[in-house]
Amino acid sequence: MTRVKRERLTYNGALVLQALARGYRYGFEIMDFTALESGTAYPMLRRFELEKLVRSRWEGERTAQRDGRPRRRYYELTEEGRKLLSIALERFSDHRRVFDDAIAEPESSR
Amino acid sequence: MKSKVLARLAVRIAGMAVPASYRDRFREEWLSELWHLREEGASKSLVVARTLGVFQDAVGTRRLVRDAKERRGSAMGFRDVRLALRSFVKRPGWTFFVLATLTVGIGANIAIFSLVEAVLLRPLRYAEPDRLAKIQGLTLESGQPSNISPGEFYDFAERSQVFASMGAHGWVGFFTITGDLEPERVAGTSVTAGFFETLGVRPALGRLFTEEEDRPGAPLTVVVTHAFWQTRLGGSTAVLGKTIRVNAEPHEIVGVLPADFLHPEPNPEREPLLYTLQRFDRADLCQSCRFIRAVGRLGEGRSLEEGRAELAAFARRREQDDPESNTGEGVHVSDLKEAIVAGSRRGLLVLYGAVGAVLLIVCANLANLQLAQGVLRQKALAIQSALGAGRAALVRQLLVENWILSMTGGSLGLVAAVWARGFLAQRAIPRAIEIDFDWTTLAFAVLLSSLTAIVFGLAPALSLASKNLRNVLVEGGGRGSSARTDARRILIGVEVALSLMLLVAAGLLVRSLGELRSVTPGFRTDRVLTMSLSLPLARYAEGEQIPFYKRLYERIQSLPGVRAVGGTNILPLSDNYSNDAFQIDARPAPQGERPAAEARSVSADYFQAIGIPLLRGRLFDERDIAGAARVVVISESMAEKFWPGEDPLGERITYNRGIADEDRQDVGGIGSREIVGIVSDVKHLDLDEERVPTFYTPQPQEPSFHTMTLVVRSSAPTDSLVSGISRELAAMDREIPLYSVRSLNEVLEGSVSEERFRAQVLGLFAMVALGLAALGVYAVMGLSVAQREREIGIRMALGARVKDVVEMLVVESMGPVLWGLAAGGVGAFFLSQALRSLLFRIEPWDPATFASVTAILGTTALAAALIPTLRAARVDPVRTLRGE
Repeated sequence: MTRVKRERLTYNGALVLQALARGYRYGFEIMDFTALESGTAYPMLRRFELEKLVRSRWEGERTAQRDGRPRRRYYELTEEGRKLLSIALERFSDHRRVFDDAIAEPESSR
Repeated sequence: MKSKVLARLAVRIAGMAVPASYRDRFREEWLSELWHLREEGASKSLVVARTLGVFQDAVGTRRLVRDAKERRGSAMGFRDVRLALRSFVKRPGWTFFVLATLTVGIGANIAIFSLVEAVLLRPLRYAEPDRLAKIQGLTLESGQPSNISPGEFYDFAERSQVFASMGAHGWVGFFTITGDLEPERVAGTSVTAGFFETLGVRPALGRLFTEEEDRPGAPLTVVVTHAFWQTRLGGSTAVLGKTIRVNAEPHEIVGVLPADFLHPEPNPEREPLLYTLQRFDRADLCQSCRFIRAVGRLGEGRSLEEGRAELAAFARRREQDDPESNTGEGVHVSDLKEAIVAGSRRGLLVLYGAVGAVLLIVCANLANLQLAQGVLRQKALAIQSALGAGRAALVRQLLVENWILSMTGGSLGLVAAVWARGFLAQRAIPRAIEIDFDWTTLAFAVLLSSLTAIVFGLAPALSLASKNLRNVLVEGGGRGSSARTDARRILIGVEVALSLMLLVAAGLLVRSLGELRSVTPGFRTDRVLTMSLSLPLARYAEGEQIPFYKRLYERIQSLPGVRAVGGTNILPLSDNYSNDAFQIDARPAPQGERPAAEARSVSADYFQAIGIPLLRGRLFDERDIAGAARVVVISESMAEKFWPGEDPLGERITYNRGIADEDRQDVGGIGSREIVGIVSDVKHLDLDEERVPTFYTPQPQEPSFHTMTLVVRSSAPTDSLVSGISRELAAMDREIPLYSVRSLNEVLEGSVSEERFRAQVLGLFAMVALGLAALGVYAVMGLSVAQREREIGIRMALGARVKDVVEMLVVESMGPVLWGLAAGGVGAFFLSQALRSLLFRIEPWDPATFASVTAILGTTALAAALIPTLRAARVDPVRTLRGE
C-alpha cells in the first residue's frame, strides 16, 4: 500500500516516528528532538502523513488566541505508524547496541 | 523585525511552488513554526537555517502531492502490474504453458456458452416472442405430432378467441428461379398471409403479404430474404415491383425481409430464401390433407394453456362434425421457442457441463503448478516480506499476477471462440446459426476469467504468503510444507476424477455414434450419387413428366461407369416422409382404423441403384407401365405387420394416390394393387428408428411426378459423374438445374450430424482433460522427486536399488490417482445416467467404456509419474549428497 512499508524505513524516518512516539507534537519540537534540518524533517512528515503513518490537525483557534500565538499544527502517530516503528526499532536494535557499548565503555574505563 | 519580514517573504515565495491545494496549510504552518522558533529565543543562525528548510520542503511537498495524484490515477497498484510482468518475463516457459491452458479452458467455455446462449437462453428474434406458439397436428393413437390441413388451419385461425393471429407454412422445399437471373434452384417455402404478421416481422424494404393476395387468381407475389436480395438482386431498392420467374411463373417482388429473419422451423439442410403464398381456395379447403404447420400469437394476457384447451376443443368438435377427415386427429400446441430447441437442450447442457469440468481441471492444474512453483518462489517472496511487505500485499501481488494471466488467457480464449464460430454455428443444432459474440459474451468472458483467477490462484497465494516465510530464509528454502503437499495430492485426485468423468461421457457418446453408424440403413452407400431435379408444371404437363425422366435415365445409363440409375420421390434419411393410409382388400377396415405405412414412388431400377435387396417375388420392370395392372412392392416389416404368418404375395391393397376423385373406391377399383414383391426395410428418418412398414409404387403408374431424386450407382468414383449428368440434363432442357447433389454416404453422415458434433466436441474436451491430468501428475511428481533428491541419494547410498526407489515413489504418487479414479468412477456412473437419452444401443454403465477409459487414464498417469521418477533414480547419489 505504501512506499515506506515496502522499502526500508530509513534511520531518519525512524527517528521522526520515535519523536512522535515520545510525545513531541509539532514541527520544530520534532526537529529539536531529532536534530534534523527543517528541510529534511518537514518533507518526511508530509510523506508519512500521506502514507497514513502519521496524522495531523490544527489546534483550536481559541487556544491559540488565549495564548496570543499562531495556531500550531500537531502531528501524531497512527496505528500503522506505531507498528512500523516497532518493526524498525527491532531492526535498529543492533545500532542501539553499538551506542550502548560506546556509552558503556568510557564508564568502565573511568 | 528584519528577520521576521525575510521569513514571511521566504514562506510566501516557497509557497508558490507548492500545489494550490496544499499551499495555505503549508504557509500557515511555516509561519506558525517560525513564530514559535523566534518567540522561544532561538539563535539567529538556527532561525536562518530552519527558514531555509522552507524551500526544500516546498520542493518535496510539490513532488509528494504530484506522486499521490498519479498513484490514485491507476486503480490497481501499477507497481503490482509491473512486478507481475517482470515475473512473467523471468519465466517464459511457465507463462506460456499457463496461458495456453487458460486459453483452452476459458475459450472452450466461452464458445459453448455462446452456443447455449444463442440456442437456449436468448429469446427468439421475433416481436414479443413469449406470445408465440407452434401449432401442429397430433396423431392421437401414437401421440406423435404431425401436420394440420388447410381446412383445420383456417377453422382454428378464424374461430380462435385466445390467439390474436395465426400463420401457416409448408415444407421448406426448392424453387426454380429463372428470368433475368441465372436459372437456379433455391430453398423456398409457401406461407399464408398471416405468417409474417403473426411473427411480428417488419420488412427491411417494401411490404409483406396481404390477405387479398393470398387467394387463387390474385397476382403472384414473392417476398425475398435479405441474403437473396444482397446476393442475387444486388441489394438495390429498385427491385421492388420487378418480376422474377419462380417455378416458371412470374412473381412480383413486393418486399425484403430483415437481415436477422430466420424461419421459425429451423431446417438442418437449408434456410428458405424465397417466400411465396399458399393461395388456398377458402371456398374449397382440403380438410384431410395434412401437410402444413402453423405459428400462432397468443392474445394479450392469454396463456399457452388456454390456447391448447381451445384448439383441442375445436379438434374434438371437428371429429364429431366430420369424422371421415378428422377421426384420430388432435392438435399439438407448444411454446415456439421450446418447440425449436427442446431436442437440443440435453446435448447442449452435457457439453456445457463438459467445458465446465475442463475449466475446473485447468484450475486444479494451475493451482498445482503454482503450489509447485511456490516452493521456488518462496525465497524471493521471503526477501520481499523481510523488507517490510505485509502478507496482504504479497497475496495481492500474486492475485494480480493470476488476474493478468487469467484475463490474457480469457482474451485469447475469446479470440479462439470467435474463430471456432464457424464450427459451432452448424445447421445441425437449431438456432446455432444465431451465435453472436456480443456484450453478453464479453461480460461472460470477463466474469469467467476473474472467477478463474480466484479459483486457481487464491489457495496457492494464501499458502505461499503464509506466516512461516521467515523460516524459509533461515532454512534455505526448497522444501514444501506437508500441508501444501497434501493440497497438491487432493488437486491431483480431483483432476483425475473429473477427467475420468469426461472420458466416460465422451467414450459413451463415441461408442453410441459408432453403433449408430454401424446400423445397416437397408441400402448400400458406396459409390452412389444422389441429386434432385424438378420439372415446372407450367412447362411439363402431367403426362410429360414420366417420359422425360425415362429419357434422362437412359442418357445417364449410357455414361461410362454407371451401373444403375433410379429415381424416387423421397430419398431415405432426407428428413422427409409420407405416411399414407391404405386398405387391405381382403379385410377392409372401418373409417378411422385404416392401416397406414410409408409410401414411396420409385422407378423400375431404383432398388438396384440404391441397393435394397429383393427378398421374395419380383421388382418393377417393363410390364409396370401406365395403364397396365397396378402393382406394389412392400417391405419386410409391412409384410410381417399386416400379414403375420401369411404370404402377402398376390394379396391386394387399395391405395388411391394419383387417382382422380371420381374414379376412387374405398376398397378395390383402379386403386387396388397387387403385391408382387417383398424387399428388406430401410431407415427413413433416423438411423435409430424401428423398422417402418413401407410400400413402393412404380413411377410410370403415377400421373404426376414433379420433383424427383436421382440415385446413380457407379463403378467409378462419384465425383467425376456429376458433370456428365449435368451435361445430359442440359442437353434435354437448359433451364432445369440439379440440386442437392450428394453421395449417399454424405446423406448418411448428414443424418447423424448432431450426434457426430456432440461426440466430436466432447471427445476433444476429454482429450484435453486427459492431457492436463497427465501433465498435473507429471509436474507434481517431478517436483516431489526434486524435493526429495537428497533423501533418494541417502537411500541409494545406503544400498537401496533403483527399482526400490522407483517403486516407493510411484506407489506414493499413485495414491491420489487411485482415489481419483474411484471417485471419478462413481461420478461417471451418475453422469452417464443423464446421458441415457443421447445413447443408442449403449447402456449408460457400459462396462467396456468404463474399463477402457479407466485403463487409459490410469496408464497415462502412471507414465507421467514414472518419467520424473526414473530420471531422479539415475542421479549419482554421491553427487546429490555433495551438492547439498
